[in-house]
Amino acid sequence: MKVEKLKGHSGCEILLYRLKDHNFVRKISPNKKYNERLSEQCKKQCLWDNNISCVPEVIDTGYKNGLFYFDMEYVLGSTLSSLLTEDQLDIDEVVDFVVSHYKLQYQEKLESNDVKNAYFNKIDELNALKHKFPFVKNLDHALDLLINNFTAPQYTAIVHGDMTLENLIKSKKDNKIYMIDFLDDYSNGLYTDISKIFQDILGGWSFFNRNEYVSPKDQTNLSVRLLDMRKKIINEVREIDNNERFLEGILYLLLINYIRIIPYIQNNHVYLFIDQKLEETIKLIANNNLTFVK
Amino acid sequence: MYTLIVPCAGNSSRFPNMRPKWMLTHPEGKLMVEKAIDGLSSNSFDRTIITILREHADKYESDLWLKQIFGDKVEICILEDPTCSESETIYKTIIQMKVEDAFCVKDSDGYISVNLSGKNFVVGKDIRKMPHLTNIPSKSFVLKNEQNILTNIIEKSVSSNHISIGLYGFSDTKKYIDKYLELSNLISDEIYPSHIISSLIDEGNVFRYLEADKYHDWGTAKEWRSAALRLSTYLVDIDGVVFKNKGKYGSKNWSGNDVPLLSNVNKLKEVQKNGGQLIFVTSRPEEFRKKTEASLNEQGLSWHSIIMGCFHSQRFIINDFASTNQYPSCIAINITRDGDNLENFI
Repeated sequence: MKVEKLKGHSGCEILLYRLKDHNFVRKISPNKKYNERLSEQCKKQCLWDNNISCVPEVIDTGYKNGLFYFDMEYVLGSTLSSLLTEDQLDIDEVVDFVVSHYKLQYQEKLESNDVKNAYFNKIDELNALKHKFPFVKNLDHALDLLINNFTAPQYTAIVHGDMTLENLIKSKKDNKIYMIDFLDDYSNGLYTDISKIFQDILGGWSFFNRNEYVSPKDQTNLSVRLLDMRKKIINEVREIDNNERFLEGILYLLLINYIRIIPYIQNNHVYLFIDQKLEETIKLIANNNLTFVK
Repeated sequence: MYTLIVPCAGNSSRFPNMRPKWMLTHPEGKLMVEKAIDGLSSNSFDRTIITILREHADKYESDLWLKQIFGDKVEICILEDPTCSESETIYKTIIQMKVEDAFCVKDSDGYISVNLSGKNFVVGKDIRKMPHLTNIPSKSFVLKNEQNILTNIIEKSVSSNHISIGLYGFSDTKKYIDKYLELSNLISDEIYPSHIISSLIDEGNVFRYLEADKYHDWGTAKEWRSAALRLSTYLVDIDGVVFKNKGKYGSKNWSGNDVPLLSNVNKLKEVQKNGGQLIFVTSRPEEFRKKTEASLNEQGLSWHSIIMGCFHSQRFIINDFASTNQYPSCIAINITRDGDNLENFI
């Protein structure tokens, strides 16, 4: 049996096994404390069932040295973020996927006070941590906006939980989009997944190198494509969801998404990036403009 | 067992009227094939096999040359007949030399510096970082994901920013043989190693993309010539070219401070940085050697040699030319005394 180590962002160890002519991926919890979360993610992946998106089939689960792991089908392909960076993806394909995913969630949404409470509890939790990060200049302003102006969405839906473009793979085998790295979400809110997509197509999170500072190169190709995607997604989502405060809701969720990243940051340039994203999002909220960054 | 195979059994059609390209002499004195594997010295192989043609051994003593260069460190595989493709050369080498387990293939027409890891891999480069790369459509293009795992490799069709640069690893000789035989039975056109890799990927084999640290491409005579020209030798006069002119007598003489012609000095430094070799020639007598060396050092210049005491007169450079070092094999540049404009001529 041959093993290759794959890169991941969750802290879990991800190994690609080749057993005779069969490949599979094993995702292993980084510590015992994380076992339950990973187990929940595995369950979510097992239960995921719709005709919009595919998921790698879970083959086996178990414990090794006290750490939970699960084995799943290996999907050879590239993440949508990687394909977009390399100019190898038709943006309409991404738009169709995101809009269809949202449409399904919208059709199956349920009203729930739990969602609202989850958001406000999360905001309180983040507010209690802000004293640890005085160097994030826009953190105070962002939290003030969330505490005083945020109208929390009231619908719950079945969500992926971390639907960034890095967690969507276009399979080489069948050209379908596969979801990976499900996450248990604190809110299970209707806007959770689409706000993660905007974290990438507006904020550029998945296109940003989190490990080292790389001086910006000419990113105009990518910027133009992301702009087109934003416009198309917004236009199509508006036909599904006529909530006038949809865009505003997404922007507030973006603030939460960015602030939630802060406690896990290990590099100074990531702090600077998040600070900049908070500033940009605050400005967009002031202008109620989700399409253009400036 | 880990084997390095260097196929040198092509007909060198892109190097017309010369001996086989891998036998061409690099400006530094080594053969192309020596330079081709120099960059892999940090990696260890149990066997290194260079595959050549009987025709080249008979006509150019190529087997003797290889023995003189490598001694027992390299095994020589002589193929009696030319092959139709590099992949066939690799296949025949595996069979003839009884290669087992994992092996690695390095083309003879390029220098690659890389630390190899894993056994199934393709070494490549991002063409966006290689503005001087020529003949791009003739490359094979690597499609890879963010994990640096290949999703495909496509021969001679511009389809990504990453090219394969002629160094491949295969974890299993048997898989290579089976795939080569399968494809060659079904396809009559030339089969490249990239086609074998592409088909193995489709069967679920995982190939890693490894980015080379350094790469020099000598795939055509033009590229080889262009690389060689960067390593030209420059015979440079000192007074009036590197430093403001002066002589033996007068208030400004060879004992005094040497005033640099800065633009010329910068051009010479650039030439040197690109691999050029500097030989200074001067009428200054031998007694001024140390002082002259100190002045050149002060300007950040280094040299292959300094020839002191030359006649204060016209200088000729005489060199032969041939298809392997083409006409003009020497060039003369005349600049006006203290003309700080060398950049206009080189």
